[in-house]
Amino acid sequence: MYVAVKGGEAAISAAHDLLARDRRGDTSVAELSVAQIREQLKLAVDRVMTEGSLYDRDLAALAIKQARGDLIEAIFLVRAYRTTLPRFGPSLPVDTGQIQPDRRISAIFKDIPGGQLLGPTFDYTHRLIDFTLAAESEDQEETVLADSPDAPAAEDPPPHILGILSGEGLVEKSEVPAKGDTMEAAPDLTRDPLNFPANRPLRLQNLARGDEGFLLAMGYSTQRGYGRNHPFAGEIRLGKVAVSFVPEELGFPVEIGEVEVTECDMVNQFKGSATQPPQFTRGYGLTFGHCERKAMSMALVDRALRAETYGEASDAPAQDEEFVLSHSDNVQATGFVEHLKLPHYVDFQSELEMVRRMRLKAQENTAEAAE
Amino acid sequence: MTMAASQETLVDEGYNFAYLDEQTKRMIRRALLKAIAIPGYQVPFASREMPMPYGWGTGGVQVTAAILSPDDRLKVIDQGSDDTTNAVSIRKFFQKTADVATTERTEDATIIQTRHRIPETPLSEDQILVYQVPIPEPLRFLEPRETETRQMHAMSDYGVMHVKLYEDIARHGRIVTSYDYPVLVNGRYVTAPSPTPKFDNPKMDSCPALQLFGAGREKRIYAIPPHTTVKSLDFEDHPFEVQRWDQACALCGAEHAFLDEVLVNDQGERMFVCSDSDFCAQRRAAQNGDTSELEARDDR
Amino acid sequence: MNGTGGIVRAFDDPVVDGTLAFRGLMQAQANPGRIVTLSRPPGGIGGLCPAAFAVLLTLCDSGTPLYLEPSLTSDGAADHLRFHAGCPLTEDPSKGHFVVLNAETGLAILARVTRGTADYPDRGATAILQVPAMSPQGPLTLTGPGIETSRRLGLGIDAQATAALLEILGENHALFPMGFDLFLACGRDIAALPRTTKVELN
Repeated sequence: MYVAVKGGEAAISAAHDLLARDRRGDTSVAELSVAQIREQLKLAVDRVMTEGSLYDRDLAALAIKQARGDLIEAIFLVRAYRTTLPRFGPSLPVDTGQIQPDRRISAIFKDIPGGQLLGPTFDYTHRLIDFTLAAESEDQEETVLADSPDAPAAEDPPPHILGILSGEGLVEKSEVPAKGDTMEAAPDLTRDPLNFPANRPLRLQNLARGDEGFLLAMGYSTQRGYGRNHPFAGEIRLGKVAVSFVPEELGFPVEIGEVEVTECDMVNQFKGSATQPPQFTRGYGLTFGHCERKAMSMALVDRALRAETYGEASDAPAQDEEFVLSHSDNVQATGFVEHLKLPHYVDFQSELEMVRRMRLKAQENTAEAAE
Repeated sequence: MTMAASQETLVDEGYNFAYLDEQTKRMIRRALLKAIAIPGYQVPFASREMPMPYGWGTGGVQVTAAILSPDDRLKVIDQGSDDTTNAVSIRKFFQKTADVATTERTEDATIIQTRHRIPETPLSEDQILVYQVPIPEPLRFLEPRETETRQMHAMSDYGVMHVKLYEDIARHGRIVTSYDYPVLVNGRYVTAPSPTPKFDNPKMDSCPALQLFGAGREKRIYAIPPHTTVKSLDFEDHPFEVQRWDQACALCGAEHAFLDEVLVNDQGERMFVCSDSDFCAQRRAAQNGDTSELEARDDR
Repeated sequence: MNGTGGIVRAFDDPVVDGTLAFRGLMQAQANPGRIVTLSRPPGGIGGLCPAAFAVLLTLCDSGTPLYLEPSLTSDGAADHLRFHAGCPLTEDPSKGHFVVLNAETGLAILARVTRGTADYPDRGATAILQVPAMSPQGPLTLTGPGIETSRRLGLGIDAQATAALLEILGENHALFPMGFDLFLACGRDIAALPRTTKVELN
């Protein structure tokens, strides 16, 4: 005799035990420390901070450890934690022009004021597996450190390349708020539902939290002709920037710390219209930490989403605000895709019952036709 | 077990009663009151990121968390059953974060959170049914754009839905929607009942209990007040009808309950049993002695 | 505001009392015209009765501008509300997400509160009308969602005020799905007349 399945609770608890055991792996291998993840898997930590919308290296590293290296799961952990944190208010806009860059390149000029600075990049590495890394030799690490170049001498922070061009009116002015502007009016996607049409600050916020892979594909599609916008990498910079906050009781700004960011200014051709003379337009990307691929993709998609502003045709997927913004969030996407794992047998039963009846009817009809 | 131990102290660790902070509850409560005032209309709300995945009941959980009081008795079902894994998990969540009393008996619950079913036992005025909703927009699969569907609702322009249903009939001789079957609430808004089988649609009509719907990922809340007309969309010559089975429940003999088909062996042999586990269990208990309960149930 | 020295009592237990008050409001909203006595309301402040104050404490915060009828802003009620609920006060009734009025003096203002838009009818205001009395055997007959057949209600206001109220509510009901939603408050009692409710004189 059939007995309904019971014991869901015991099964869940056993699954949690197995998960913990699997996460640890072979116990004869030393356990990863959070500090090791933080220091040696920096790009993973940076991605989790960016898409988790929370700048906390240790927490991101811990989330990566708990998530067994599944970055979307780690982002989810960080997001769920972030929701419970108290809010003190918006910071002042950061001034990325004050960044003393660790990396800064421009593809639109051979040389630029302040110089091209490669910094820590994979760009010119030959992608050959480096088997010496498998040796885990401490001697070698010391060699690497000894050979590292010194940090560049402190100078005045280099100017934004696009700032120089916009002086000539060749590039549209930045919509970034001027120094001293408060961000009272900045929308907050995590506190208000997303309604359409969205404005650019809301779009940028959505893209900053958006999935790197999704934005990469969307940005790529614009380069292949689905909403082409002729991009040039005007400037990419990586470095630390000070964050300031005005506590209500003090009434003046206080520097509360530094965050590392990657910023991408994309320059895009614009032919001009009946009302506007030709000039270059921009797409903007900003991430926590070092997320260059994400910052560039974000800038491409930001520009694509501004098609309507420039009276351009907007029929490509990357130009479709509702499509892009509704599907960019990997925590939402993964939840809904993976929820198909939950039991759906009641719905399936409903479909079974209907398909059976329809087949029966079809058979009757065939039989009648044959007579 | 470390995981259970760490979760049991959730409230001690500084989380608020029922997990959500008070400001979030206020925001959800405002949305709920507007939803009740505009039956079937989807109120946007600032859905929070919950410690469980989107698509797994975050909307229902937020609604329940915003209304739950220490005096409540909570029942959680998924597919009609109290012991499916996600129902167990959500029930546990509220035990840990709100220390709330729980029950499996439909008639003892003050709040019932559900995914995909409405209990067979008729609900009363003192009860609240909270639905977990994946896609709150009944027009979404006909028109993917929110900007468009919002206008359709504003103008009561439900032509696309009628065309869809009509095409079903033209092509298949019937309306081929068997769950999440669209309803018209209070004669005004076309509304998604959530993926409940259409078998359950008639229970929504003039239901004495308050029905609340939460869609977390899609950030919408909607409601059907008690005693409100809920009509399943149909045509005069093709009236709405519910599923029926040729057999009764193999366990309790119920003839007018939604039945799950269960494969019992590798030969594909199957049997049909009630999807509502509490309803079935109570009927069997009554058959084994306590007949007063059985009679009470047969009154309906 | 320096501490709570001059501040009146809000909810004793903001979490539990706030939840119970909300359940009272939800019960009222889901069953229009049913008089619900709030179990653990706050005290009244100034001209605000406990039930009206409870609505504001339960639902208002920094995102919900509040309009108070001028006669209600005395006795520092505005300061109390800013302190307890943190809600900004507006002097324009059409800008209030929440609007508190007295039945004797505020009906003209009630006609001016925002009704939302056809695509966002939820943006219609929530008005709280303080009435001198509430009884389940009054001259008003209510029908609509949340009411099985019909429900009676009396508000202790004179025939002229009743007629004025009925005119505003009739116009509001006809706008559905746009419209405002009304809470009636008297002492610890609350009742709701959401926009779906049809209100008629016997």
